[in-house]
This record gives sequence, structure tokens and C-alpha cells, in this order.
Amino acid sequence: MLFRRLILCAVAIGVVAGVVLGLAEQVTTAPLIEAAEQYEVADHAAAGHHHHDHAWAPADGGQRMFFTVVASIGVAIGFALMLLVAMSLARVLHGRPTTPLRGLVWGAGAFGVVFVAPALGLAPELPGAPAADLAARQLWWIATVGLVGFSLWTVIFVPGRMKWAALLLLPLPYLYGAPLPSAEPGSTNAALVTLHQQFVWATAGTNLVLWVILGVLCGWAMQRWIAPALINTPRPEPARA
Amino acid sequence: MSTTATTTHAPSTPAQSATRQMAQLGGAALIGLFIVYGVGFSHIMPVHNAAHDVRHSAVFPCH
Repeated sequence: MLFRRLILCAVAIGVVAGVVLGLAEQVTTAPLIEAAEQYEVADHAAAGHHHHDHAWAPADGGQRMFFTVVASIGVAIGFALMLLVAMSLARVLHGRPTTPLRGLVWGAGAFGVVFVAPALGLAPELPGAPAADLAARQLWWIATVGLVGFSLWTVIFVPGRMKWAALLLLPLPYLYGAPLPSAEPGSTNAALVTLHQQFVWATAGTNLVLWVILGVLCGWAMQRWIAPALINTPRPEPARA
Repeated sequence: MSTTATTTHAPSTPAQSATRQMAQLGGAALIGLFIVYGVGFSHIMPVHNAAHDVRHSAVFPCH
């Protein structure tokens, strides 16, 4: 059954990609986050900063690392599930089969949609950096990823010349503008600026690795497990990379 | 329609099978969305704190 295959493949792929992601984060992003938190504690102690205060939080060290790996596996399973569905729809609706090599292109596209597109408006955040209202930023993030994803899908898969009109959607999130903090740029501490630049590259690298792994593994799973369970496949195309 | 659709559900028309397939794909996508939302966007504090470093690393708006 298709549904069961989708879930099982996504879980297997998510565990592999999530463990790699969670461990990679320990050496790339987590040290920068923890370094920024030292400033956050100093800066916001008086301002009554909200988190870590009352609610449960994992203790620093092994427990925090454990939950980071668990959450990484979770997010990787969720992404894998959506990527497999998107690959299935490309096959069912537009007759495009996926191979591991094409999965690499899918991974690159998803990296552009899910990481680059929102990061162009809302730069990767370190704890303690000034930011606008959380709900507004989350809404902008979701709208941007949805719009850019829809635009890219239309340009790649929809036949006919009108599809190029979808490119007009691309600048909309940026013309509307991401929710940015209103005033005070915070402490323009040189050390924090450097930390932030390092964080931008660290997140870009880790997310690229995540999406390359997800793309290739999902492409392989499509070819091996999912595509044989799909109906309405226009032509049984042999593996053609 | 020819009999190109070879499904395991024997007595169903291709249209029914296609609908069932779309429902399964939609269900799987919703579960994926739900998981990503839970890890990346939840406002529940213990969930936020457990996934904190992943939210920052994945460039989800965090706090």
C-alpha cells in the first residue's frame, strides 16, 4: 500500500538524515548558538527574557545534544515525507520519474525553497538577536516557502508558456517585506557580528548537507519502493539519469 | 480507459484508485507538515526548548 510505503521510507530516511544532521549541528551550529547565549544572558537579564525561565528545558551537555538529535530526526522525517509526496505528484501528474541522481536536483531545489528563500528575508537568527514578533515572522516564513515552492513547481512542471507568469510570484515576499525588528539594532558588538556571519555559513552548510542526503535517498526510495506502488504513471520509463 | 492501472485493490475503477491514491498522498503530506510544524513552529515551551538548537539551525523563526 502506497501510504505505508511512504511512511516507512520517510522514517528510514529521516532517521539516517536526522542523525547526520543532529551530529553535524554539534560541531557547526550548536557551538555558535551556545556562544551567543552567553551574550543573551548578559544582555537580557534585566529585560526579563522569556525562555529557559519556567518551562522544562534539556540540561546543557548530553541531554541537550540528545534532544537536538531527536528533533533533527523529527524534522528530517517530516521533510522526507513531503519530498516523497512531491516526487510522487511529479510522477503522477506530470509523468516525471525520479532517480537518485534527479533526487540530487530535487534536494538542491528544496534547499533553495526551504532555506535560501526565507533566509533572504529573515537571516539565520542567533539567540538574543533583536527580532520582530514571532507569529508574524512564522507567517512570513510559511507564506514565502509556500509561494516560492509553488512558483518553482509551476515553472518546472506545468506545460505551456503561461507557466513563466509564476516567476512574477518570486519577488512578492520581499516586496511585501519580512517582519524586521522596529528599533534598536541591539548591541552592535563586533564579536556578535562575527558570530552571526559564522552562523549564516554554518546553517547554509548544514542545511545543504541535509537536503542533499534527503534528495538522494528519497530519489532512491522513489525508484525502488514508491514508484512501483503508484498508478497513473504515464509511461514505465526505465532508470534514466 | 485501458487496463494500465494494476492495483492491489481488485474491484475498483481507475478513477476510484486515482482518488484513493491522492488521498494517501495528501494524508502523508499532512503528517509531514504536522511533524515539521511541531518541531519548528510550536509555541509550547517544553517542545520549543527541546527543539531549540534545531529551530535555529534550520532557520525557523524561534523566539
